[in-house]
Amino acid sequence: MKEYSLLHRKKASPSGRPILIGLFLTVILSTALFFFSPSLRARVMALGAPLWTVEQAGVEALETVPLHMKSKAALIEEVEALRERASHAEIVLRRFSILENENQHLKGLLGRQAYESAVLASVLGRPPQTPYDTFLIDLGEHTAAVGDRVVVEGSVVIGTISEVYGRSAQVLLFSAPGVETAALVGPQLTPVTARGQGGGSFIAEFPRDIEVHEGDSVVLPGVNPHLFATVESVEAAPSDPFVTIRFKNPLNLQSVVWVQVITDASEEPPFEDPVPQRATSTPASATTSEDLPQ
Amino acid sequence: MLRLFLNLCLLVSVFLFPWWLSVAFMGLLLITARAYEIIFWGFIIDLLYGASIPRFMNVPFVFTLGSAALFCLVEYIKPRLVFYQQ
Repeated sequence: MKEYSLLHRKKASPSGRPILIGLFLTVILSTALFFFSPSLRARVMALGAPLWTVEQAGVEALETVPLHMKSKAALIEEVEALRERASHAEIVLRRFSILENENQHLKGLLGRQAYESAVLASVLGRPPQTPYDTFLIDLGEHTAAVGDRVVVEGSVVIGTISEVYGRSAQVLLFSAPGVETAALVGPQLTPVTARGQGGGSFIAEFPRDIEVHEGDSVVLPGVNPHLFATVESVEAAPSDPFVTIRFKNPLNLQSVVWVQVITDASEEPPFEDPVPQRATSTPASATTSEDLPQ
Repeated sequence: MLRLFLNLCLLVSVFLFPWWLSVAFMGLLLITARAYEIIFWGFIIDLLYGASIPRFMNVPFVFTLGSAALFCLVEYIKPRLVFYQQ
């Protein structure tokens, strides 16, 4: 009986009207997106700003919850282990700082001392929230410009600013699918074209004669090369004259909270403003994680 | 009521949650009603996060077009299903 009713139930004849309305709406919205994108975006961003602020505050509050659950002994043990790691990292950092100063000095002797001005920005949206492998940051048109490089912790470059709105900007990550970036791989600084794969991953191909190993650094070319990625794997078929290397951003993009936007890179020492501003001018690559807010 | 609730979920999801969760809410909305609004939600996602990237042939409104295609497909299939009640 049930089967009968299913087979013989009168259905309304299929009408194409909803589909036509849907297509009409799509044409209207796509046209609006094409012609009025910047002004519409600014309005929607303004709507999202309080939500993002609440989210950030909520995440920060939730991060402290596990600390209250831990026992005192476990916390003391963890603090001791972290202190040990911090003291080791400090020694390594001092060595790096000596090498950096030497590097700057040598470049200065050769007439190529470069300075960079970086502005700190908070990340409003990041993958996987953003489907196109982009970041949304809280710097607007007064501070940032299209093409500015975006770095994390002063040394890892992750992308460039692709669009700027009133109070926010969009950062297109180098790892966005299909985006190609010129980079240098390994100790011999072999030039390669890194093709983005999404989620902070890249792929590149080059002749097998060149030596590249897992863990090698990939940097962006320039007077002050920024760390770009580290080699994760090197794949070579015996019959193939080329090797495929896969590399990845050295940090987890989903947990990045602060970034720095390099607003100006010049060979002139920056003008020292007597009044401290949000923008910080430092010799390139001298910025460390200590500059970030705690 | 369910439609309103799913729309509220979409509003929060578009701003705070991963994009695939928004797509899941859109799917649910399409099953429960003739939801023209999913095209609008696709438009909002593109407005917020849209970028020209080579994998999507540099088209920055993939979600608007995708949600429209999904809407048309579901609205085409629905009346032809024996078990589906309008």
